[in-house]
Amino acid sequence: MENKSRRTADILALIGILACGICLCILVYRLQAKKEFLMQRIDASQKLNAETETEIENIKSDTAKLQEDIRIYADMEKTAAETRENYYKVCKQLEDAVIAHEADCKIAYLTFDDGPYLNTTGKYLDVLDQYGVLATFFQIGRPSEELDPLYRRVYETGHTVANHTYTHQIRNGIYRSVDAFISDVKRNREFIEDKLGYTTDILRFPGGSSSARNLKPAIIEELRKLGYGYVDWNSATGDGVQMMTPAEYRDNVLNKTGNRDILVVLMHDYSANTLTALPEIIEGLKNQGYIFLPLFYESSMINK
Amino acid sequence: MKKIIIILVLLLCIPAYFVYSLNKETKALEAKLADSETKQTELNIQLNDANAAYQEAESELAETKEAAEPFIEENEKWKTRAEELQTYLP
Repeated sequence: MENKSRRTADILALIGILACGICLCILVYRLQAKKEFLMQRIDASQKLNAETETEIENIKSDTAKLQEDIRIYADMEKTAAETRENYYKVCKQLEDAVIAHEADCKIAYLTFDDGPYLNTTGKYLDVLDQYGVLATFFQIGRPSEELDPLYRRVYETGHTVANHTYTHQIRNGIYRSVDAFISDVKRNREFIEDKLGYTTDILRFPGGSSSARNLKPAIIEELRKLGYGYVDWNSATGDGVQMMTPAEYRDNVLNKTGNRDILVVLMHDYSANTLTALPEIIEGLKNQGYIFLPLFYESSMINK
Repeated sequence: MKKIIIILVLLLCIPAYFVYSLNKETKALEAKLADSETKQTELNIQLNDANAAYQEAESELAETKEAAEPFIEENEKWKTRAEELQTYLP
């Protein structure tokens, strides 16, 4: 009886051990499955993280490129001004080469005094645009809102805007004294600055520098202090002196170049006859080997 | 019989050890997964921020470019003029 109960207890113990064994095996199996599941999720999560990190880096790099472009575009006004300055440096190199007879061309600086004029200056600009010619406009102070677009157009097209005094009052005006002249120059400089945000550094005396007579040396000294250089001319249509036909204006320029290396041609943008003559003047000078430049401060034609 | 039982009980220690070891590993893996998912959340925030910064830069660029348009044109004009002049240089 005792043996029987012991055997029963042993069998029960074996069954218990077996059950425990089975349970543990099931647990091992399930934990193993869970471990594999977790490892897969971790792999997937880490892969996703790596992809996200790469994407973030790419976006940051693209954003940096955009910001670089923003900087470039934000500086574009300055860049354009620098490129314009660089153009004048090339003009200077070319002028030096022309003077040294090392270039295959001569230079003509077309200059227009006394503008802008509402009825004619725009037409002059159209002709110059048509021929791709840059010139120099010696402007005076004309405080009329109607003329503002013309002041701007001259400058924005690339022509040189230069100072010709505010009032241009030759008799009993600007040549009364050095102070009278200089204050008129300053007034026009400020007037143009207000209109264009541009400070002129080239000046032409109304009537030419000889009009200043005995005041000329003192005026030039004051102009130098203000940072101005001045220019006269060595060629002219004559439209400021005498009324002539367009053909006569044309011939006054084309027949009197004297084969000079550098011409500074005086014209006035109020003259309808000069306007008519202008295309032939441009073509005639081109045929004589001239190219057209706007005046710039460093030019050898500017007296400093 | 007793010996057999003792041996079997001892043999049970092997799967029990496996259970212990696997349980420890899964706990560590769960913690690692949690870390990875937390990092994922942070990265998603960073991604959104980066996208927002990109969009902002893109619209700022469009505005800046539009404002710079006349100067871009002007810059090109002066470049072309300088290049044309250079053809006359010796």
